Amino acid sequence: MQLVNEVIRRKLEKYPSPVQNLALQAIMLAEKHGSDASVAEQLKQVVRQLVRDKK
Amino acid sequence: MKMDGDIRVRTSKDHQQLYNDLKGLLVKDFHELFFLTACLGYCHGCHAKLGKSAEDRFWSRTIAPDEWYAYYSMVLAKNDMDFGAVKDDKAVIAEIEGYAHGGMLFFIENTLNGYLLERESGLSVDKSVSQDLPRRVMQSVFETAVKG
Amino acid sequence: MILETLTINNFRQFRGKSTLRFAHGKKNVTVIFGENGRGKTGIFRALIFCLFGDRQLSQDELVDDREVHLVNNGAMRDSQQEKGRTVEAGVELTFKHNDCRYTLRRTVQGLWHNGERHEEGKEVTLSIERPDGNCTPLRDPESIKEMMGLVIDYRVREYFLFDGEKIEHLTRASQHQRTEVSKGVRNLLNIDGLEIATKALKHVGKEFAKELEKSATGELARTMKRLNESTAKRDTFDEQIAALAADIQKAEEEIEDLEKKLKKHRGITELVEQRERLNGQIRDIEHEMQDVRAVVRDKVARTAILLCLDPIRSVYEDIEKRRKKGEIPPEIRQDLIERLLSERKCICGREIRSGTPEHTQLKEWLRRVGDPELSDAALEMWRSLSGIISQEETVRSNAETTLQQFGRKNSELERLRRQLSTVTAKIGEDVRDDAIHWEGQRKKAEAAVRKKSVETERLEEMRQELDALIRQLEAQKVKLEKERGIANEMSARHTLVENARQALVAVADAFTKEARETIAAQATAYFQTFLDADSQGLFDRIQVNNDYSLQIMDNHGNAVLANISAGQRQLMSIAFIASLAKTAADGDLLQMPLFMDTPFGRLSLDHRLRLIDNLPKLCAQWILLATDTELRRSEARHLYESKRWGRFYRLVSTPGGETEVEERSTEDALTLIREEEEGES
Repeated sequence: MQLVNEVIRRKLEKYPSPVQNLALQAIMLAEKHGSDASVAEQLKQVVRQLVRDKK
Repeated sequence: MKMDGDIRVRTSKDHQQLYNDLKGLLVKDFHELFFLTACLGYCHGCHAKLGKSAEDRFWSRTIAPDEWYAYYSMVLAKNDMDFGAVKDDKAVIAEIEGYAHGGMLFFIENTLNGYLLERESGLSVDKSVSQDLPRRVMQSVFETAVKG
Repeated sequence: MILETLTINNFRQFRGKSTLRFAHGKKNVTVIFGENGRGKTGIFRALIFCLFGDRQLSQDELVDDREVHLVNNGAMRDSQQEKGRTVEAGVELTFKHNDCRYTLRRTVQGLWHNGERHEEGKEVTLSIERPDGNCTPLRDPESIKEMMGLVIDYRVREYFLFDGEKIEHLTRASQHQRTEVSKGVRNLLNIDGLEIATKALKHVGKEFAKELEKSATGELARTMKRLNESTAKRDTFDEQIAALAADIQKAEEEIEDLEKKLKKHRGITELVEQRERLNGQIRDIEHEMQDVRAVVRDKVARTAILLCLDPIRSVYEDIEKRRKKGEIPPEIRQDLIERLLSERKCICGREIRSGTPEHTQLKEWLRRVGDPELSDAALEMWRSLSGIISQEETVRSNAETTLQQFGRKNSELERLRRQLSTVTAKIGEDVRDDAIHWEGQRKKAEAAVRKKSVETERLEEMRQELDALIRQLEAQKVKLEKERGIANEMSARHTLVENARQALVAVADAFTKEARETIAAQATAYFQTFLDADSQGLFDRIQVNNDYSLQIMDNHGNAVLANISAGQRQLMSIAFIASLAKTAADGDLLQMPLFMDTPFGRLSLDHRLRLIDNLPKLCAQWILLATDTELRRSEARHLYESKRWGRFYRLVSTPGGETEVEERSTEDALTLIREEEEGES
């Protein structure tokens, strides 16, 4: 199953770093929490942080 | 041997219901049933006196000529062909009544068995199983006649 | 993962302890042989229960968990009498993985409480023996679950066991098939995680979009509004499309179910028609017999005359004799004789004296003459009796004919009644009008499928248009923001989230596309090895379409799934499932044991033999659950000669309805299978 994440990781590499970052974090949170509502809540914070960091 | 039509032909009162039931089912009229039982009685040597159980059943005028001749033949055969024995029709009928009664008893015992119900009014035919009765009777008569 | 032993104790229909040793290495095939209902799937259940603690298999999805009993019924029944007594059932599995030997044991306890049966998990233990001999015991369920998760992924359990039903589903070009294939691929790729992530990003994107809309003005506000509305509409389309897909699947299942009923009923309809015809024929014959009975009734009395032919003949002969003698009618009249006697004179005038022969003769004549009336009557009787006697043959023949006619009709009637009885028994209970109803339902369901498919297409088209519009609006939004110099945080957040979501969607699409292609390629390779030589050249590849339907392409690029045989479709399913399992297992050799429950079903002998040749090479262990119709002499011999067959177990029913496991050598197995086949013939 490692293969799965590797492939996704590789495919995401072509995207800009914040997008890549956010996407990977979303996947990790999804695997951990399993519900899109709770993942969404946590992602909001991640997004805010990423945007601030970009600035 | 005049084929007297004014004679009341008698059968047992115990068989009144049977006569009523078998008319229409097995035969067209009483005289035919009487003829059948008389032939059975003569053929199987069954002669039984009616005695006190005798009851008028039908008029002799309904008896067909062939039946009369059969009766005369039976009486003549029994009386060494003495035509004096058949001069008096009443005496002939009286004799044949004996055969008919004996024949009916034989008929009940050997053929009607299984088709009858015992009621207070006497023996009667079980209508639920009687559909096959005419065929059975004809079969029985035919087989007896063939065996000789 | 290499399975070594499985010990079952009071589990399901296995009373007491039974141990199975699985073949591995060069001889890696284990055959578990038994009739249906003997417990072949029970062995697989035991394995899954031990590995994962699952009480149910995927085939039990419609069964309430409480209805699945793991503890042996006989043991439970016996314990019912002793208050408070519990019954322990369990499974112990030993296997090797990465040079370590694992012993996993899981038990469950059954007891009676207030007359009701209860089962609860008791204990799970895991012991790991390393190559250096050191042993690590674990008792904590969570730790054990985590440890086992490193050995074998839970999702992969779906690909352990292939049963006839799963194989069957995949052969149909139906929503069900697409669902199965989609489930398989998605489970394998852990697409769920991706989807949850995508959904979560969509959630977040919506919220940020609303915030943006609130703060935007002028054209940007209008654009945002339109964008949000379009996105919401697209979401609605997605939901509607998903709902339609579910409806279509339900309708297809309903159609399948109705077709089964109608197929059964078609047979019944024909029987009902036959019954109607028979009833009609019976009525006709009964009418004819009524007529015959009437004839019999008319002739019965007449037939009775046959009983008194003897006296009739005797009398006739007597009168005939007398007639010939001149007695009837008398040649000389009575009055003349009397006159001759009284005058004592003959006709010629001669004197007649008493005592003379002439006198005696006259007296004799007088005696014989008798009553003239009687004499006339006798003559009349003679004529009539002659008529009766001449009728004898006719009467006899009529009676015979009538009786024969009656007999023939009666035989015919009885024959028809017997046939009617057989047909009625086949029809079973009263035939209802449900067939008309089912046919109506089926037409409705088919119409619903057509309508919903059209609706789905329409919605998908609209969705695509909407997608295009949304991209346009997003581009417009970005442009407007740039023009106005709006690079605020809100907008940046929204854009980032949207980009991340789109990236995930694109990656997931590409990823699943690649996965579909990989699986399809592998399935094609397996399929070609399973096919007989003649068929190999006919097909080019197996294809897993975007909608997860399976298709077979021929060498001319034509889709031919609908035209291949049931056996070839079955091979295709097995090839697909094996390729999923291989992809899940991450190696050239399937790292997990392959359980196949009666996979041969519709396959010809040739195909079966090819599977027997190839499957053991694809996997580390092949465990074949077979009935006597699956594994016959030819297959058994072929397996034996492949030198891959390591173990043979026979599941035998006990008088108490339970199952015993009997191990036999493979040589014995050949004899046993041969004897069973010969016993049938």
